[in-house]
Amino acid sequence: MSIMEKPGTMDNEYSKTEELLEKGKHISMTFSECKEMKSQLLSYAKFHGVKSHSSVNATSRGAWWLRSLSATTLAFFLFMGTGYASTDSLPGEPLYAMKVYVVEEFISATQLSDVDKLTYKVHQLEDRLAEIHQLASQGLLTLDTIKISQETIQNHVDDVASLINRSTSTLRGGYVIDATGNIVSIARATEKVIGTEFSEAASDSFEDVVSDAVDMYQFELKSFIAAETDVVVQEYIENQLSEIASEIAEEDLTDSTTKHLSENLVDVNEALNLDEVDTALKIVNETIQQVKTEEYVNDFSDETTDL
Amino acid sequence: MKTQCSRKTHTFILDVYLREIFLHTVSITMDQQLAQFEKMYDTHSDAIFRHLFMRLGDRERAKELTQEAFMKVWQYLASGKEISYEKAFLYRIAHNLFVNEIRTDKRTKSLDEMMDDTSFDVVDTHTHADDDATAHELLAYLDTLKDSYREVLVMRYIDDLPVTEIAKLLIESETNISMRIKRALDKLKETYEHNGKTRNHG
Repeated sequence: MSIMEKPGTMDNEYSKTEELLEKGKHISMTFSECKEMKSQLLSYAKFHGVKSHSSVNATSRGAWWLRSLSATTLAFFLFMGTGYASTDSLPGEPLYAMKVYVVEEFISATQLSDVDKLTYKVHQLEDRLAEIHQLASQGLLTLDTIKISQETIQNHVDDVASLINRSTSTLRGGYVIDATGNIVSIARATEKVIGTEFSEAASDSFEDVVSDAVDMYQFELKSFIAAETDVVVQEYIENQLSEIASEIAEEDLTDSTTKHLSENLVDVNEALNLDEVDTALKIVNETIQQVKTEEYVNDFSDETTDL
Repeated sequence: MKTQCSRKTHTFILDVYLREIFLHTVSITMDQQLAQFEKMYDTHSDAIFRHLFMRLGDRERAKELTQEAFMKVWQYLASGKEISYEKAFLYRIAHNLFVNEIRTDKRTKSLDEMMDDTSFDVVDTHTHADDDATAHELLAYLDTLKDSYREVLVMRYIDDLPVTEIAKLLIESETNISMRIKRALDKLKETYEHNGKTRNHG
């Protein structure tokens, strides 16, 4: 009903005029118009990208902010320059702490997910092992450098433990068992390399590291068995068996290891036939760890030969 | 071999990391600005369109100016500046665009011309039949007011801006704005009464 057709009293008209104005609030673009305009504007925005802040006149109102940004950037690059120079440093060298506790921690902090962080931690542990070999090949393996390596590796293992504890919801399942199993292999390989390259006594200092890694791995294994159904665990076992089979096929292993692996596979089959999934899982994972430990040690042997 | 490869890989990764870091920062900035821009559009586009439509009386031109307003917003954001109060900022741009439009004498046709013009499309009649009637009626009344009255009524009752904000946008005192709103409303009421009487006598 049009208000032109039905004028009321003065007060009524007052409120009706306001009412009419209020109705204007509901006027809008159609959905398709709105969508089309948005699409055009976003295309425009993407084409006319963000300008470089450095092109803004330094005397503008935002100059103090830009100067701060420039100073921070400069400091950042100086810091990164030093970090870059530290990448080749070894335990006992001045820039080693910078490399391990600043640069690598920085890179670790930039990993987006907990899974990425865990992967990076395993990578760091592999690097520590590589450093030990390098020290050995350069005749720099001393009690001091071994102590630094041992402390650094212990820190990494502790970091992994706290990372896993912290992210109870995301870091679970087969991936964590694989990662912690890898860490056990690296720790055992490190212990073995120190024992071979330096002394059995020095390798004893790695016992705690190995023990912590094994505890962490076993805890994750138990959690996995408790949390997952038999079907999931069996599927995981099958995947691990495939991996072992491919390791044997590659023929890089010693005869005794190959024999041992084959025996283990028989044991796993027996356990599965008896529906002892837990036992099968333990055997299969320990087998994988043995293979990987040997691989890590062999890598170092190859390196020693090459150098 | 593993150590050498590992070191080379590590060095390479860090090198790439350093080179990419600026691009990454710029990319993050761009993503953030785009997200803010998109959010601003989703939140305020209809209000800005409505404001311009009610002041111009021309739907198509209002759409064009709405788009222009948001392009100006992006230019501002892309230059690295920050917008602390989005709503006021957008109304300021819309108001300036409207003033420019008037100055360049591109204002839409009078209401009578509009009503006579069969091609005049107030709103999408297929989807906004009610809006159509409301817009015609509202524009008919608003067109009887002078611009200074029209703008305060649109800002107060359609844009729902408080008097303090209107005063800031128009760079006038709150008292002036309050008085003008009252006078504008009186004038509108008078027109309303007049139309009613005319109709009754007719």
